[in-house]
Amino acid sequence: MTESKPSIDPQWSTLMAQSQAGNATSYKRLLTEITPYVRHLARRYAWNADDLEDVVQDVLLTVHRVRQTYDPALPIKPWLASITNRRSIDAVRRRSRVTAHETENAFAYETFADESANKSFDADDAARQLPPLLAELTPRQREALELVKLQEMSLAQASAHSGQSIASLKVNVHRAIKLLQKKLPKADKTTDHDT
Amino acid sequence: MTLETDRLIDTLATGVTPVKRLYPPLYRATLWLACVAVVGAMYAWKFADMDRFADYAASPRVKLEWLATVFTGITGICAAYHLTIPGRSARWVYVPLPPLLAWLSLSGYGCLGHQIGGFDKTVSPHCFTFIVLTSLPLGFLLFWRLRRAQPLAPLAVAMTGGIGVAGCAAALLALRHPFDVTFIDLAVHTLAITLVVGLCMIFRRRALAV
Repeated sequence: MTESKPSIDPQWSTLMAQSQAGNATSYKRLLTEITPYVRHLARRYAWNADDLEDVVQDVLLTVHRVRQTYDPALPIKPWLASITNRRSIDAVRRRSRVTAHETENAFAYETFADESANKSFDADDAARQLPPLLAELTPRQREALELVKLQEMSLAQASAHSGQSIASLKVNVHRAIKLLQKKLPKADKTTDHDT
Repeated sequence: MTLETDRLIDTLATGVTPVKRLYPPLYRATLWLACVAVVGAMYAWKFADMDRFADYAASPRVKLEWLATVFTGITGICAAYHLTIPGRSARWVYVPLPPLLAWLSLSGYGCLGHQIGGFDKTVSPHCFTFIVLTSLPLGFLLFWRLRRAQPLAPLAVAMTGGIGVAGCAAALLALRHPFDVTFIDLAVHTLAITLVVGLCMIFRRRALAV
């Protein structure tokens, strides 16, 4: 199902002014109503659905962070469009930099429901060795790993909590896991068979 | 809308706090320039040779050159403040360039009467040091005020801000250095401006907290 073209709402300026005063209801309504508009603008940068949604969420986070810069006496659409374009360009540049040096592996940060399927090393040894290894990660990698994998937050929640963009969180989780896999001793390749 | 986006909106709305809206960028730039003007006036009163400067500035070319320096500072600062606000015209990045070019051109014209000139150990390093060391506290003050806007285009903000503080520093230098420069001195001035703008651009993310 395709979304209808977003409607232009002149009340957004009023809602933003109320949001700047701390009105949660107005703020929620504003963010909900501007999201289709932001998605419409960001779609011009040719995203797949996941990347597009990452950019939309990044824009909403930026709107939250810089809401004090909006002047209610001026139209809100140029302000929103500027933020959306800037974040979209940043995402394109980031994607170019990452894909130039790394290959995305969807399985690198996938967790399976069956615990035994996640094992690539002895669990007891890993539990003992993990805390000092976590200290070797950069602060951002450690934070990303703790929020996404240990506290099991969604990427959007982790982004709101940490201030890192969703793309940064993915990259940092991936790098943290790669680093930990290198540091931990290799698993014994022989498997124990049931007798 | 995806579930994650919905959750994000809920999280943001639940945690929303009142914020103090920023004043218009021109108002904030004027305040900043007024503070620097007060400090500059105190500096001129204490350290500058104003009689000698008045004699030197009797020439129309010198007057224009000094005004170009001052306008470079003013336009650079105004442009930096405007560029921190999303939705403002990106053309503000070009606004300091005409007075900057006028300043350098008029300085270059003033050098013509002095041929190439040598590196004067008592003057040339002083000019370089003065511009750089005066620009540093001005730059700290500027970026400390600009940080509140969390600019989305930190490179443009840093570049125009750097041009602005270098222009302000050079305008103050002229009050204490009221004589025509040689080509070598002009090169030293240009190097100092380039260094100031370069440092602002290199440290933009840390300085602007983005």
